Amino acid sequence: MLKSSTFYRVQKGMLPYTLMLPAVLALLAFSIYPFISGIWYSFTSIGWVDDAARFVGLDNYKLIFEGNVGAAQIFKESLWRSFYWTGAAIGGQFVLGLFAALILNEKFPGRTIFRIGILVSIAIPTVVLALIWNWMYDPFYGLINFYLQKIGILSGPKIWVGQTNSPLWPLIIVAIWRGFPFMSLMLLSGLQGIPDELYEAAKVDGANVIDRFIHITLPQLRTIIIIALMLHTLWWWNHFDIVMIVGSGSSGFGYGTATIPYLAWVEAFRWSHLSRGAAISVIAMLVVGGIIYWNARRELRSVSNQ
Amino acid sequence: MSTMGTPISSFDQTRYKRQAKTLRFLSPRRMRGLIRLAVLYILASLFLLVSLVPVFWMIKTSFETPEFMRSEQIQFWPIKFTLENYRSVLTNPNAMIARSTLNSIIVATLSTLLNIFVTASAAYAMSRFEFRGKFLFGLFLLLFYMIPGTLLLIGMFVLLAKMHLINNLMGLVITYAAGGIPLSVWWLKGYFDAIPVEIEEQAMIDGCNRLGALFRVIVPLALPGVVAVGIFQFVGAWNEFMLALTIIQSDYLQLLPVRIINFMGFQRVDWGPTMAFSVIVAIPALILFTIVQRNMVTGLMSGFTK
Repeated sequence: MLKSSTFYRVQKGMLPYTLMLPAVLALLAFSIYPFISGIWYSFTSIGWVDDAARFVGLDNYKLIFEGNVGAAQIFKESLWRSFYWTGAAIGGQFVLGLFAALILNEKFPGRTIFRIGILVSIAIPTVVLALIWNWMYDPFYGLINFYLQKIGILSGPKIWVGQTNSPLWPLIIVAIWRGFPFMSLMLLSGLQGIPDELYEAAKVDGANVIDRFIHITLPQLRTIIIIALMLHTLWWWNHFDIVMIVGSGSSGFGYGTATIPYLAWVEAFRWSHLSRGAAISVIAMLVVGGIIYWNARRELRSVSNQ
Repeated sequence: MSTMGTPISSFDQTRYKRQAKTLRFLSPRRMRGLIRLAVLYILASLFLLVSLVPVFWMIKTSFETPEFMRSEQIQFWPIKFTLENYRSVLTNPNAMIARSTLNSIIVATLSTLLNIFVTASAAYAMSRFEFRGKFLFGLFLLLFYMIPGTLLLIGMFVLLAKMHLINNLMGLVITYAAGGIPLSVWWLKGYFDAIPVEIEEQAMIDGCNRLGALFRVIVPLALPGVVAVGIFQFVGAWNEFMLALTIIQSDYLQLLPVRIINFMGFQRVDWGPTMAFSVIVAIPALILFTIVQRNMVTGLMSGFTK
């Protein structure tokens, strides 16, 4: 009896580890190992997969910051462009998303149809969506040029994307369109958690719509807003598809609109410099990690002060 | 009744009712309600329009006769309806749609099954047991979001090359299955947390051992959640672009999103067939997403809110 109970206790103690084993092994082999080896490659001379990875210290980083060839030429402007891209995309997504969430949180007949309609744009594959926007931006037969010419903003056909000197903001519009529905769903889930009594009480106290928004909605949404902004910052900082597909038209590489992840990918897989691609990615990670850490710490402090 | 409200004579009551009836339509309260509804409908329709125009434009283009594609006239229904674009995608040997659909189905299905198999048991352990290393594991799952996709891809690419899995569908299966682990674990843990421990204990008292309880009680109860997570994983693999573009190089093995890009080319795009192809790729994702949309937001945020 004693023996078997000890056996069961040991077995019970082992059970969670046994259950965790497949996931832990898979993560070690296919997430942690690639991650660490990726960082390692950024300190080596590896060009393509068959090359020997010889340790070269900080040479890749020096080359990226100071060099004057290849990716190094456009690294700094790509880094600034990444800030612009992420900031503008997240800002637009947040404003539109919050607005949409506030509307969808109101009760009115047919609300479900509107909710599902907004969801459609989340479900569309990014590649498909990027192609649709490419087609809408078409200089001669695209929807956008047609209407802009019709209202008289444009006098002739304009090439929006895909040129070496194309601006970034047409891509940012695509990113905002892509991201705001999801932002609004997150915020909506937060709005639905705010108890009605708070609003009722405020109404009795004579608070108007704007007062209620500032003094009830925003503080109550605080946690959700922080989580949503953090997640979207990570996603959009690292975003690749739209920059690749909408940004690189016939010119092939889309330099004019290259952000950091795209530059890293091109450097690693188009120009066969895995080591430099890895170094650019590591820099990207440190930057976004720093932003997230700084915000998280500030948030934690403000919560613990309350 | 006796304590609340003042007694109203029946005469007063009927007069009040008649008056109310005539004034009801013009009462300020009702007017305010109508204005509120009108504003809500206008704003919600605006959002719906913004979300749906690109999707609508894709569908319209896919049914448009090629001669009218490049016309000066733009309207939201085909100038001359045709199925020619779909026929050309389905029969054009360059599109290779049958083969790439099969590739996509194989990769999405296998990676989903593998992912669920690995994560379900881990999520169960995370939900039901306290054990050493649990916090560390959870922390890693959150930090995983911060690693840039390009960095993981570079490490993964070299690893897959060593395993001779570049340009091999199994390479993608492994990459997708592993990449989805953090999200699936958090999300499934949320579902397991929602199932009361008492149900399980009751089953164990009734003579099941823990594994019996797991399979006879917990799995059926958690099945809707597991299906939702599985669908999300499937759609993720179906829509993914960067990894599929990098890891698969031969036309024959390409997945649908990469196939569209190669099919359309970048020099002179035939938008009709390209949009028809896009519709075909988007439809499965749309259908599956509508099924999981309810659970999606809470699932994606579960790791951060707990």
